[in-house]
Amino acid sequence: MRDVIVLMKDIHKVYPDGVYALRGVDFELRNGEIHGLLGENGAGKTTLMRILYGQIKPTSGEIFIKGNKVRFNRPRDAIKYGIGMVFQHFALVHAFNALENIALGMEPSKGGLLNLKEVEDRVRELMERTGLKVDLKVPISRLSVGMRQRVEILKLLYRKVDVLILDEPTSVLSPIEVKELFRTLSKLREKGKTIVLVTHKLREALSICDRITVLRRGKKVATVKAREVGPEDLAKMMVGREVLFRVGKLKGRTGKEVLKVSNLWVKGDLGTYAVKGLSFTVRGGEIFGIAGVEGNGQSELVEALFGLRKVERGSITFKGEDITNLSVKEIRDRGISLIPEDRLGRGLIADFTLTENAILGMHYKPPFSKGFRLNLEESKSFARDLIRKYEITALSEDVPVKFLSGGNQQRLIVARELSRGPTLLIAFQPTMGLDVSATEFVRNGLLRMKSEGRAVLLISSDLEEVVQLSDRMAVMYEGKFMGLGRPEEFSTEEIGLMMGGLELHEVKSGNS
Amino acid sequence: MRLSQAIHKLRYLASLSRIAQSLLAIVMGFLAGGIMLWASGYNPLKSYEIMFIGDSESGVQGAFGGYLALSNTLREAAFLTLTGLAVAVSFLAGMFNIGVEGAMYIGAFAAFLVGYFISLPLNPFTNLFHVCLALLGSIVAGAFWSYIPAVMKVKRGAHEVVTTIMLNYVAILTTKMIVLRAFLPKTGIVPGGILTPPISLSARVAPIPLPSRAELTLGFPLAIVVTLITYFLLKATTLGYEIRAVGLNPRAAEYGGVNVGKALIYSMVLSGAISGIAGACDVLFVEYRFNSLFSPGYGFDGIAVALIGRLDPIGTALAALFIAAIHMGARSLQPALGMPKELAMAIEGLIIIFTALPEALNMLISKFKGVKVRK
Repeated sequence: MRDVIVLMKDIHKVYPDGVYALRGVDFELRNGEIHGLLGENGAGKTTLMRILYGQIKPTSGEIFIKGNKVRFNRPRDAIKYGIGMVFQHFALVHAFNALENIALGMEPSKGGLLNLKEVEDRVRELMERTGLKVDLKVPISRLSVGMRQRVEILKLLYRKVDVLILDEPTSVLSPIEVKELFRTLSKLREKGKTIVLVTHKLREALSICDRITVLRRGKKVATVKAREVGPEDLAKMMVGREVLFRVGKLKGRTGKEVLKVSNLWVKGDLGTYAVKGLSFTVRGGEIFGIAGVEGNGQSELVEALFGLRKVERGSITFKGEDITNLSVKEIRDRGISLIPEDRLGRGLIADFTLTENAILGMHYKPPFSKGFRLNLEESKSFARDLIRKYEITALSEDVPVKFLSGGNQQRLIVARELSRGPTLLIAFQPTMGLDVSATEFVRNGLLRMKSEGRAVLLISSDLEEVVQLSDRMAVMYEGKFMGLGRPEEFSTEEIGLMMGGLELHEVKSGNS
Repeated sequence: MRLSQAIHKLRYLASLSRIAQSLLAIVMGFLAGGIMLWASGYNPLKSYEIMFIGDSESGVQGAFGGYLALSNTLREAAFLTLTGLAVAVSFLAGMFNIGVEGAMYIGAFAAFLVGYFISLPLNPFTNLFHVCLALLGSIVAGAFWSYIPAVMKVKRGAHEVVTTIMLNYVAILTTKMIVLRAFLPKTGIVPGGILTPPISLSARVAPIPLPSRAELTLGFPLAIVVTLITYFLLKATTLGYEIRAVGLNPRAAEYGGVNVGKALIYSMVLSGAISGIAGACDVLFVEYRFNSLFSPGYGFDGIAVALIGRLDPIGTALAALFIAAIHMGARSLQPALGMPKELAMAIEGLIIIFTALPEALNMLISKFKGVKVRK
């Protein structure tokens, strides 16, 4: 087995708080392959790779690089052995340009003076060889996410890394950027680099990897050749059971128009328009989905709909009543619920108990409020109800929610917002970062709302989610809809192109 | 599932150890003070005994060592409880209100005005009525005073630390000027401050006599009542819920339909009202007049008290008692041991710093975390 470059044997990891992250995992990486590391949230993918990168130490187990046993105390040690990792959250200095970031930590100097010319020559040569083109002199803050990722990769290549570990590299990219990334990775493979792709996206793993290792709950399920398996096999290995790939799309009776948005203009935090003249309607008994890469005005749209951000132009009509620029309270009281995107930033108060969080947004209304007093008993029994009905795992209703797992926090938010019996539910990234069972729980909640004749507006950067759940959908790009229609009318590629900024008619005419 | 539940339980219990943390901090404070005492040539244990109980040789009483000392400790504790609560209520909403001192002066002055310009025939009913009226005056005045920086913050974004510090000067110096000018012939100028003439008899509350010619002013029982009311307000009313929500996570509060600006204003008004009561205590229960320098900085000490009390009303009252005892105890070190005043004050400061540290750190950490809200 001379071509085995990395061998990890019987790796165990128990975190100080007693969580078993890895229970005896073997992992083998061959020279020059792209190896997918697949698993659900919490399966141990990232932990395993952080151990290989020297960022955390295994509780037990051995690591061999090219047959030599190694012990890494810090990433620097791993880099010395040619192993580098790019994280989901990049570690770049925003005020520095790409070149300065690449040189950071190993800047060549002449008599105390920084000499970046050498670095630049080498980086330009690297870019030439790998096709990873980046503008080296522009501050990172002005580069797109895809460009920043390239800088991270260049940074590692500059450090003469042979094994590149990429942690969920596509989660922040548009479909077009993903394609480019994959092209780059193939090129790197040709140049003899070895790549580990940590992901939970089946199709991606299948499209580019040579071999795939699947982890489940801290254990290795199998290592397979990508050519020999299909997405269903991988999904089965990942979750240990059949996944519902196509949630039963009930042909609900669509009812009356509930929400009507016309020519909506909303400004972002920077004072420029983030939503540029959107118009759409949502009817009772339907799920209207908005897909698109994060940061294309979705946050601003949701905030404007819920009274959290000022509408500059245009109008929002709810059940025939103009609700443009009403307060959150007034909008809530009319029967609109929101599952916000940022769980602990918006949806919950981390230091409040389950009970206190369960009544957020209803705390000023009976039965939770009697005059100026809070009805604590009623609130507690309501919280207990939610815990039981929505299967929230918690010690009691008096525990601060910061002690709940992410999935249970989300269940609490969903439970609270659904229990209000809204006429319109806005669900913004409702399943982000959730494991399969919590995801299914949330999606079923949305479908139930729909079957009860309520209107659901689903905004998500998870394309599959939008396609599977929506009756009608739109793709949002830079504050506008690139196209709007029934999901069946679009091919995945068309949607991808729209997400990348092409309008529907361009896409269609381009195809024909 | 069971394992993860057990972990959640452990983490939950760890959070309950906040009380243990506070106790540990107190022990550390005494240790640090002890080292300083020892290094300065004093016996730490003996010194602490003198601070809290007293010295039989010289006859000096420690903070809890006799009726006279105890009544002093409780009087001080009353002021610190009230100012501590005033600070806690605003800090809970996330307002770094440094203006309790000023609002307290305004409250004291309002109580004086009501007590001085109204004179009622003396009987228990009019006495009660007049005192309540004066208290009400101090509440309204203090509330109004703190409303100013709150509105400046909500409407114009003026930072409350700056505005409240400046308003402290305005309050303290303006009341002093009015006392000097308006009551000139009858103004008493003493080293302790400029004194107005006394208030009407019907606005005074005599202290409750204790053995050994000691007496308990009404401030302490009143402070306990205000503590309980504040506790109820914060924990069992919609307003308290909204104030705490805004302080912990304004974005989530906003999403929950809370008017964040309004909650901030209410918290400051509440804080000002409590500050006003603190001021009235001196005029109605202790000095029976307005003294332009009546406070040795109770409003500022209230910040330490509130932090040691972890911004909890009950905790704040306990912390006030603790600080008052340390303060009174430090004063008895001087006569009993011939210790320099500066050293005694240094010991006092050291103990308080250690005790206030855990919550102060928590606040700083959460403040920095707050900056990184994902957007």
